[in-house]
Amino acid sequence: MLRADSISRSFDGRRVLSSARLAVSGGEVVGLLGRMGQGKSTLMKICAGVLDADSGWVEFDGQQYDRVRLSTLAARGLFYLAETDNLVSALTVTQHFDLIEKRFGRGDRDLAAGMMKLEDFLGARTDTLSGGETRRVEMALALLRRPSCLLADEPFRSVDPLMCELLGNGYRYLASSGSAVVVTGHEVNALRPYLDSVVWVTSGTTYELGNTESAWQHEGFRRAYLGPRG
Amino acid sequence: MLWLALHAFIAAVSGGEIIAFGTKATIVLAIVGAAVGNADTRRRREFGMLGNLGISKLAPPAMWAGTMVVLEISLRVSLYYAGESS
Repeated sequence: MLRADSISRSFDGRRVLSSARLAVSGGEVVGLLGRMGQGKSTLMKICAGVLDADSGWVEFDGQQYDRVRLSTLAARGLFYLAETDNLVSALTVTQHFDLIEKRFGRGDRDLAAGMMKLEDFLGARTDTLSGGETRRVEMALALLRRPSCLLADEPFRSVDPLMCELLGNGYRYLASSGSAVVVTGHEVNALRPYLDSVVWVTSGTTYELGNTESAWQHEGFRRAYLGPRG
Repeated sequence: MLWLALHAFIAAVSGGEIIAFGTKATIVLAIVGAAVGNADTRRRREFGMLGNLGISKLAPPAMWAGTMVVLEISLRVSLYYAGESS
């Protein structure tokens, strides 16, 4: 579904990624984990087409790109949730739903709103929502869109445990519907139940650690990222 | 609105005369319009949603620039025919 390979990227001469790789198939939730500043968000942005790689390529839905834009990938089925600014502040939740449906056809609005428990603020402008509510609205849009691939950058940031469960169930629901899902974040214990596999981003490159059990037993991952209580 | 405000300002400082821009000034106006469109879309945090809707980042600035050019051409044509009829 989505594959990125040989990705390198520098900022002002500082190499953030070198030979990074990411592959995710439909029906799978992949956790892209690693310490701050190791290149997780950079890799996500490159895969989503909001940032160009210095070298390497992204393949989405059978088409390979050296440089690609989010608009191109989104039209083919990708949905990207950045850390911030995914919603238009002047529009209500319902108006966001309308935009998605006008562009991509009718979706199951009741299911999306119901799963994310949005019934009470469908008419609210998104700039009046709390951080957790905003995350739920973003996830509801993804559920309404039914993307073939969802990339979510730090979706559990500033979200309480109950909301994490709602979001996590959303990822599992999308995966069970055949979507490929990639999430990043540091809330590893909250993320773990929803992940099928883990990709560790460290020192600018990536390591596929397999399922969560083998990842949590990986000596280097434990020592360099999870810590003694991981 | 920006286009209207600009022409209202010009009319005010030129003693009520409506002036259509020449070709070069229209191009400059279109570039300014595109820059304002880009800044406005960024201010409203619309690029993320637009991207997910499959709409290019270039679309909002292009729409702003295009609107400016169409309005300017319309004004020029209107002034031309108004001059013909008087």
